[in-house]
Amino acid sequence: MVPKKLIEVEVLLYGKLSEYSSEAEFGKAMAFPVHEKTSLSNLIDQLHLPREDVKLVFVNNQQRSSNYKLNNGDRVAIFPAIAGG
Amino acid sequence: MTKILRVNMKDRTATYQDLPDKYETRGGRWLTSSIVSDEVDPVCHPLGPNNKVVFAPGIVTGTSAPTSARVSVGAKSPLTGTIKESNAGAAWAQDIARLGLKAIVIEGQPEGKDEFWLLQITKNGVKFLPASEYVGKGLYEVFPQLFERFGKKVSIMGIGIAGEHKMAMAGVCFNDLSGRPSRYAGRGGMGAVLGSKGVKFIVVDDEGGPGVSIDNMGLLNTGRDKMRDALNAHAISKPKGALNSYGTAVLINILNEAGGLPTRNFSSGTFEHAAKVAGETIFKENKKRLGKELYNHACSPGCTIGCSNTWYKRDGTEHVSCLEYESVWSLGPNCGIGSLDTIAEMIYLCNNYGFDTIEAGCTIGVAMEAGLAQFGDGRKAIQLLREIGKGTQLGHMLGNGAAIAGKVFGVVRVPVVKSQSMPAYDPRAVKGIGITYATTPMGADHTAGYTITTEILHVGGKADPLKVRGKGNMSRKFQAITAFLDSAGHCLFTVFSILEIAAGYEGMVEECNGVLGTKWTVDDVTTIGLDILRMERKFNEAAGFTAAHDRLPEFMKYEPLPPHNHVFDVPDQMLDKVCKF
Repeated sequence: MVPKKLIEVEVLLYGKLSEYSSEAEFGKAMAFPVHEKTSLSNLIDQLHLPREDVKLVFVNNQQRSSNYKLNNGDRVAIFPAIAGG
Repeated sequence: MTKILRVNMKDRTATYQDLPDKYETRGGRWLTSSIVSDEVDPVCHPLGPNNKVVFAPGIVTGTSAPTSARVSVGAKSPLTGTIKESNAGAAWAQDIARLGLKAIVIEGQPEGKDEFWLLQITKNGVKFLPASEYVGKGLYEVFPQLFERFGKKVSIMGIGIAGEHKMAMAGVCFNDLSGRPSRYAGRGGMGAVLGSKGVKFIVVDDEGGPGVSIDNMGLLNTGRDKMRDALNAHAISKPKGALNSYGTAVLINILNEAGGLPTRNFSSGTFEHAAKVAGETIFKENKKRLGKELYNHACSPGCTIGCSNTWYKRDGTEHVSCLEYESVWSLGPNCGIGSLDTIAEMIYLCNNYGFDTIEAGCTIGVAMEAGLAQFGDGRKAIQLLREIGKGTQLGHMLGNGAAIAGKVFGVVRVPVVKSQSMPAYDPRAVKGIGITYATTPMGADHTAGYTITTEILHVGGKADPLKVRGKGNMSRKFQAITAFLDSAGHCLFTVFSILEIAAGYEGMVEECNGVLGTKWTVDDVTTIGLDILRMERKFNEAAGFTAAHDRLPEFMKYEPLPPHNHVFDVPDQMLDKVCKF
């Protein structure tokens, strides 16, 4: 079996979720290595984010659902439930 | 027991009128739009003798219903020329409700030019006191003087210098729980109409008032408990939840990531300094400056959500409250400004002079487009706001909103509908909110039909913001529900919880039935909402508005917005269909 290629994605954690990473400062992307085609839900687990706390994910400015497969250089912005006006 | 208070500013008389039967079940926006529709000539000059300003608390305002201290302010708008309802959260709303007032109607104008009055309303009636000593001064200077004069327990409504000058970006200011002049019924120039009637302040003391008339206390309490439980359960509205921790400015990052944060006068959907001015940074920086975590506060009594923040200077003293998403965006990213200290100063000036922050920020954005300042020049932006506050000729050119400023300076990229500036969501990246901007009777208004709930926040459902299909129905549904909510007297932020917790939604209806003795069901929410919209559209048609006005500015049809590079491609026929109900 050929091992999956390692890629790097940029992760931004917003709202209360930034507390789960000492590296991810607001607006500063954290470089995170994953295997190619890792799903978003898998990434969330690897980041040790409680799944029920993740509400919205944008990848390269598009909303994506948990089965989206990551590509090298993807900018992944993860939000908890938030609102405003 | 419930009355309409009619104030005539020509002869300075006040009359208490029994509530006409037809208005018995109405409150808030439903009542202000009803009275304006029934009594104001749609073709009158908004600053002339025949316009009227109507204040109405919501149906459940003044009761124990949570987050219900809301007041609607209605008139024909000098900014849009349409019927207008503008809304604020303030103790003032509860106080007039507890005096047994369903509405206050201000009619007529003083004969003397530039004559300003302070109306003192108590259980004993109305006193007209000269207000000339307060004219030309900032509201931060005057509010403490009024509390000193009338006592700490009164509530204050006021207009600033903008209203005195009858500028179309003049909002209506109310005190917050700490006495600051910071709660605004901002949109549509209601402050200018009050200025044209010589009304500078209305100071209310509800001591000894009859309270709100309640038909069935048990039913009200049942509904209230359901509403309260829903608000306390939901991640967005609960204590130490999203709104209580980060406030509305938390939206800056999410709209930026969605590519819909209007930047540099709606020329782009992302701002490179967005994170520097977002709610998380406000929280973090305040923590640094104060040495402790600061959670947000309520704008009014009975609010359990507490979404209002305060910004502190580097030396730990208070700068301004509050830094809302809309205000931070309009004076920040929309002007290319990425400094919270600069934005805070601009918000302070808007509160002080009495400007709608959305209109002010969009006008500065258009002024920058015109070359009066560089995008990002915070110092110059502050100077331009001060210019408006001085009431100079340039000040007047800018103080009447982005549409007028755009016309005067020959700018094409002017983000308005019916001459009202767009709020903080670019329609080319969030198509549903664009439909709301185009079709609401209010002009470009986000609260009128807040599709962001579904399109961006995924509350009560999900939708792709870039897609068009289904968005017409979505906008109409939100517009109808909101029209009811604005009449019930609840804060719009209850929507995030009650759209997902059905008991909360039922509770809202039960609260109204408890107060009024009506037998509404959840289906009646939409029916009543559509009735209100129909009434408002009828006024607008008589005022000269046609389908041609239910459109976004032309540039949004041909100028793609980066990063998604979409134009606003919702067909005109679809916009027309939204309004056919």
